[in-house]
Amino acid sequence: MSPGEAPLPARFYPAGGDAHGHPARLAWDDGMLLVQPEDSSGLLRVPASQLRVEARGFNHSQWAIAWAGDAGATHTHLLLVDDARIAPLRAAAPALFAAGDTTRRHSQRRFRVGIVLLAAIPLAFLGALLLSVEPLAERLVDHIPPGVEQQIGEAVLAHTRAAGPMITEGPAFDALQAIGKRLARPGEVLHFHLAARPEINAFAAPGGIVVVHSALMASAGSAEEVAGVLAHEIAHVELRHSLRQIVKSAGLRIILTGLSGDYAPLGGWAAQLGELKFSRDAERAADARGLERLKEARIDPMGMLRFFETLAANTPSGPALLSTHPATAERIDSLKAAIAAAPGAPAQSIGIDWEPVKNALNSPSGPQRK
Amino acid sequence: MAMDVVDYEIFGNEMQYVEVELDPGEAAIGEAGVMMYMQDGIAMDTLFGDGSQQQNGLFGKLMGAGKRLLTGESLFTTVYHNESSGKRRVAFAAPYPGKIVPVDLSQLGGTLICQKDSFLAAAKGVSLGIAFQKKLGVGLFGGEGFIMQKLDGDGMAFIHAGGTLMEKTLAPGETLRVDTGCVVAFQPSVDFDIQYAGKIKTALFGGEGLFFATLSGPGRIWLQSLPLSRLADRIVMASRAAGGGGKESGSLLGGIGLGSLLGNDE
Ligand SMILES: [Zn+2]
Repeated sequence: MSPGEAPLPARFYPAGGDAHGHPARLAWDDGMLLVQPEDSSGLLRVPASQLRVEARGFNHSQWAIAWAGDAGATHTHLLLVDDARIAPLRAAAPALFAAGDTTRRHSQRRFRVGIVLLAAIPLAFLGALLLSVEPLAERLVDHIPPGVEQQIGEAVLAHTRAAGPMITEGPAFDALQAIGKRLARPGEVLHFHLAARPEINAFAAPGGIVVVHSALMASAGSAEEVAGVLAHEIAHVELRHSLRQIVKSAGLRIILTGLSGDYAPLGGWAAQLGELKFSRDAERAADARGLERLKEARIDPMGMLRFFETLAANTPSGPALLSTHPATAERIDSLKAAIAAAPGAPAQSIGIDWEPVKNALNSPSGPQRK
Repeated sequence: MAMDVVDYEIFGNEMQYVEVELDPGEAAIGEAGVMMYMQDGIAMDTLFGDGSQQQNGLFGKLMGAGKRLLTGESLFTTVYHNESSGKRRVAFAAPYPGKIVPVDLSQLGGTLICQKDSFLAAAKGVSLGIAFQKKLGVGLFGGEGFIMQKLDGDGMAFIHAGGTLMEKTLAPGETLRVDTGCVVAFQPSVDFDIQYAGKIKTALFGGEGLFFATLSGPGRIWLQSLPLSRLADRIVMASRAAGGGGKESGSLLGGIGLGSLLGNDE
């Protein structure tokens, strides 16, 4: 290309000239840069070897092409070309632009890193806040007064009542109360509720509340089996697992709750949560604690074991209780080991004839519901 | 797109306004809230973005809107369109004492970088873009100078400088160090960098900026002697001093020190 046919607009600052520069046209010809100042002074031919090219200006949006002036040492000629127009020259002499491109790339990268960092700071702050929710919730749990715990439990129970019928009398209800009474320690206040539900399940709510589904009692073979499940659920209550889980699930809201001192909204959230899943550690702890309670009450711990085995064997699809109490095989094994290690005092039968209970729950007229 | 050629006249000395003459069918764009008066026959229309062609398409519009939100500019630009059959005038007033600088973008190579709050008005077709200063360094935390406004096109644009205007053409290699708040505009050929100015002690007790801008030529630069934020700082300080002795220590830190730490002009 020659300056005439492919004009590349540039601004020319001749060595020793004024600050304003002059418009010029550039072209590349056989290793030479041709510069034609528009004020029609003579055409300049500069060999590529004399050129220094760098990216400069705002965000390196300009290319500066410099070479030594005639007088030599002190002054240099300078050409400025907008990056948007440099393409023809870049195509003709790509090597000249390598260093400038590196500069531009580095600057771009630094900018991106900077922006990412800038965005990361608030995110990190948020992350730290979220991470601190758990310890905060943990600490809060220990400060929730029993009255509030009761309140939350009542809210969960209200939710359960609203979701379906409850059984409040009859052989099954009486059996449940009897087993519960046998398990309760002197002075301990526990409430056992029987819900008419087709899923085999039982759960604990804050405030000493244990809810058992009718299907669980119907599928059990004896009062001892039900006692095993109840002992496990009572252990959840004792260890405040439900409360802890509710507080954690409430997340950030709990901090506000704690600050305001009004725990009532927790019940609402807990009800929304439905059944709570505890950690494996919590389940293991509840198993161990439950086993202790069974021994204390002189109830045959094999009932607990049998029920878990029945559950695991007969319901491959997994009943509701299994979905909240996974890893049954592992738990059965550790339960077996614990029973074998410390058999405890000889057991005394609970003394409930289980057939009438089952019949009452399975009778076509159905259990008395309310 | 051909720019609308705009005739204009600037009135006043320290509190100026610019009167722009629009031929039939011509239009000018202005930041919301700077219009002073307009003659009959000029229709006002609010555009999402700046009304330049570069923002066609939903995505372009959203990007433009996002950038404008980021700089704290209004999402909408007001367009003043001459719908009469004769020449009509619309005037835009400077929002605080200073000078209105008319710049002909065609004479400047088509692009001007300016401080984000200095734009006043322009011929329709000039695009208002955002340019992030990508030489990060400490500039990122200096606030001012990080987000600049970029005017593209070949029409007239009017920018506003607070106090007295200083206009200078830097020779190649010529360098000037400027308080970041005093930079109004410069050509893209000017190397613009933000540097850490020195000790915090100076900033706290001497009222000097923590950061300054280094401008090196070649290229034209426009500086202002009185950035609005500097004026505002002094007014706040003075009103605190008048408000009673109880807040003396507060004014030392809040008025100068914290302001500059947070990237105000001071
Ligand atoms: Zn459990």
